[in-house]
Amino acid sequence: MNPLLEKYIDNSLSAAEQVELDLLLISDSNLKIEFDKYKAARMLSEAILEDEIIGNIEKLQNPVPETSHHTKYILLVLAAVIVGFLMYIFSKSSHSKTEPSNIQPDKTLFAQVYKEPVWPVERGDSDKLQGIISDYLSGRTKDAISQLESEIAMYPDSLTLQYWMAEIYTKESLPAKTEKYLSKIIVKNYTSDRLPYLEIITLIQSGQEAKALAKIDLIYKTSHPEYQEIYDQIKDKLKKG
Amino acid sequence: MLNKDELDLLRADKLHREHFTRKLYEDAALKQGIHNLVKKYNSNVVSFDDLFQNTIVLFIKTVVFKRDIQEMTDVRAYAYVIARNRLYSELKSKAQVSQLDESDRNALSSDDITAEKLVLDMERKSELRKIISLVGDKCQQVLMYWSAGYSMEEIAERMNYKSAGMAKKKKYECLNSLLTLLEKKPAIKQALLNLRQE
Repeated sequence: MNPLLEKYIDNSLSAAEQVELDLLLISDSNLKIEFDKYKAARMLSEAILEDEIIGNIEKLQNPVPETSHHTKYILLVLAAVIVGFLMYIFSKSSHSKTEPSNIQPDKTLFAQVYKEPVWPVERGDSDKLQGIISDYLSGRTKDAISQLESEIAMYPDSLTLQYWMAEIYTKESLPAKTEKYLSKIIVKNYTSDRLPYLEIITLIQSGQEAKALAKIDLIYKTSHPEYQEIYDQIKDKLKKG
Repeated sequence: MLNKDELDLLRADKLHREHFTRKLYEDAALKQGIHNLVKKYNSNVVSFDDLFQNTIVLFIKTVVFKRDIQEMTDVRAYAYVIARNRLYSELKSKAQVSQLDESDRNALSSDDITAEKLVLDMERKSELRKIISLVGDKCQQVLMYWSAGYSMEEIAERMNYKSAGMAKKKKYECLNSLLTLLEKKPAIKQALLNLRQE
């Protein structure tokens, strides 16, 4: 492939090289045919963002009827149960019973505004994910993390596994690791009130308070009142310094 | 106002863009401003709904594509100027500008925020959207950054890849799938090329 075309494809053309390529395209018809292929692909790729935003606007124009708060929680628990069942299909191992979790020391803003998720342990210890979470909640943190990491390696496309990994790392105050998993879920557009909340907590844990406040401002209006209350608390604390 | 951090979040995060889209969509003052604009200048060339939607798309596209924008002091004013320029280019394309008096013409076209063409303005919009939907989520993100001119290092950072080499490899795979899809639709390919030449 022509090295200038290769640089064009890699977004690494300098201004001078751009001029050189433009001149070559006038005189070399074969290169022009090849170039046009990539040019059309670039234009179509430009439309990806347009498509995303139009999709978001269409969602606003044709909203799905709001579910009540109660229904939302039922759905959450149901989702956890379904996830448990699906994981059961892939797994045969069983795990021991849960004990109360170790809570973070109540000294930081994180500890003040951290809210436990609905951990998927309602149905006992019958599946792998529930077993791992049980281990984690019983204080066997290292084991649980290592098991969950192995599961993710085995099922890299599972949003559920990545989500619970992000939850565990948030609780463990390991923002860099939380961010790693959270970003994967967000890229896949796995939306809920919990994800922006985890993002905000992660920003606070990593000392990026201005970003956390900016994020809160953006999502506040569309968040569940329960989360709005937490966000009020965060804004209040951060503004007081 | 949008500061550097907020602009960065918009560039990096799909969920953030969704929330921001809602924010713009629900901005009553912006909606009213664009309504008035359509009422004042329009001669059935563009509907309010189309202009409002395209303004939001162009606004976010501008933020993501123009990384040299470090701060936006007045979001509503910026969006309004986009709407105005967009309306001007619509009127121009339909040869309606000559019907405006000079002061109106100047008022519509005086700012330097360019009204860029949207690819999805093309007649074959639904076909384009269908092709896009055939590319996976991750590829869509990689190709979006690629089309916006992000370097391989920047793509690696945005997508949490270990290295620029990894981003380059992923971009190569994604681009190849897109090229294959486009090769099957020569008319679409030609329409895309024509759009850029206009």
